[in-house]
Amino acid sequence: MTAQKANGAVRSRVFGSSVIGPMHLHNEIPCQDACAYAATAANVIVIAVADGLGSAARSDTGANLAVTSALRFCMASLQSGSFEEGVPERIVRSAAAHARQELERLTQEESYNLRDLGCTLIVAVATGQQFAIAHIGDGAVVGKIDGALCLLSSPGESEYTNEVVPITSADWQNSLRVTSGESSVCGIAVFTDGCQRAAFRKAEDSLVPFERFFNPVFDYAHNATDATAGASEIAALLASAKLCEHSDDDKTLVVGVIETD
Amino acid sequence: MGLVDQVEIGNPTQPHCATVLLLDISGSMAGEKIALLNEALKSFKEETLKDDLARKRMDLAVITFGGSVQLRQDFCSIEDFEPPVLSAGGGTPLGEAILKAAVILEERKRQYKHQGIDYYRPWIFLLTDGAPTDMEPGDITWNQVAACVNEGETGKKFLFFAVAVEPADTRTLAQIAPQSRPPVKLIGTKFAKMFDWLSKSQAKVSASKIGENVALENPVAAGWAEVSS
Repeated sequence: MTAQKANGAVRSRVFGSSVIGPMHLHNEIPCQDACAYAATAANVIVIAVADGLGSAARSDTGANLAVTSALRFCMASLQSGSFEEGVPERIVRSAAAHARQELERLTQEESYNLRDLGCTLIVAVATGQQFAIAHIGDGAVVGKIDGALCLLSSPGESEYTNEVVPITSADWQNSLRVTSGESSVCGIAVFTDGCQRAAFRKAEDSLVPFERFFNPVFDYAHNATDATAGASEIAALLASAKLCEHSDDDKTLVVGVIETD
Repeated sequence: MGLVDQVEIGNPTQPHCATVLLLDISGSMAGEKIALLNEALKSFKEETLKDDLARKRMDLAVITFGGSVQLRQDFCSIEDFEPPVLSAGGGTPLGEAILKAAVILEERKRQYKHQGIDYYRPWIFLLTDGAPTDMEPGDITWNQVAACVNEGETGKKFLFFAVAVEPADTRTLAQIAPQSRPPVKLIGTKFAKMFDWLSKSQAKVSASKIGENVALENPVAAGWAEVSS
């Protein structure tokens, strides 16, 4: 999706894909990752990404509902056009709460248990001047600020175990991590754990965004003219042997760029 | 050039599965047994090389015990593994050998952590045809070895497999091996079949997710072992 101001001063662009991993393909399980994204007319980028838990029976449904409801909430909230301090942070926090409510609502409409819909969720909002992220579970957000890569939201404590607190957990609010900042974000990438080995290098115990992964991705996004083609290019990357060699999990990557002429 | 050709992988190091072969080369192994074991080690390398993931992920070390305990091969990839030509002689310092295996595994894991390498639970694969000559049930070394194996298994530090070759005393071995995985008895001199199983099992582990329990083929069903009585 592309938004352009009439005077052409600011342009934003966002696209991405969720791709089924070799393991789920082999076991005939649906893709449990989901993503939803948009750029507003005012060049604000909104990205929602979710990774359904392997242990949850209908986590594909949960992940899809979580991202679509979070995106819809953000887009409606952003219509007012107000970006006073703290507004993006309130929006992403409320979007996560709204996604949780929608999952609860679905359990009432259909005969699902809430835990069957278990998934992680990342909701990110970025303008040229500020960003805010609400994050529960693993996956991560990497930004490009003043030409440098920054880990804006990390995978959390659960990196080395298989235990992830999903948004369907009773304790979800305590596990929700909200990050915000006033920086000129020119690129933002939101992804699930299936991309983590590609996206980070390890330095002792910390994760460092890997330049030779992100720079080509952001460069591509800056030069892309067609969001549909961009989404296909990301899908091809995620389905490639190069990435699948390092993770047979489902993979999601959504990338947004904001350009100021 | 597509995006896939431009990006590189941040952490391309394959997760490792450290495996220690703990081989008895005491005097009683002399003759046909040691000759067949040497042959089996060569075909073990060839078979494991055929599996794409095991080739990248297995990290192999060989400790022998016969007279003395020796690290014959420090940890290396299966590609770099040079199957040793073993000759038999001396007593059976099994206790010292097991303790050494545990020590080099802990050191290897420390290196993995330092280098940011993910790893599977390591394996200790013991092959012996005799009773230990450096410990007796109940003595200090014995208790130390039994505690080391027991804590290693229950604390998930490693998986311990014990294989008894005729005329090994399986009852003594059973007192050292973890209760959850009693020793098996090699049928005759089916070393080749046993290493074929080991190679296939390592391939299964290499294809699994770290932390996942892997169902291995039963050695009895695989045709090289019988349950010790």
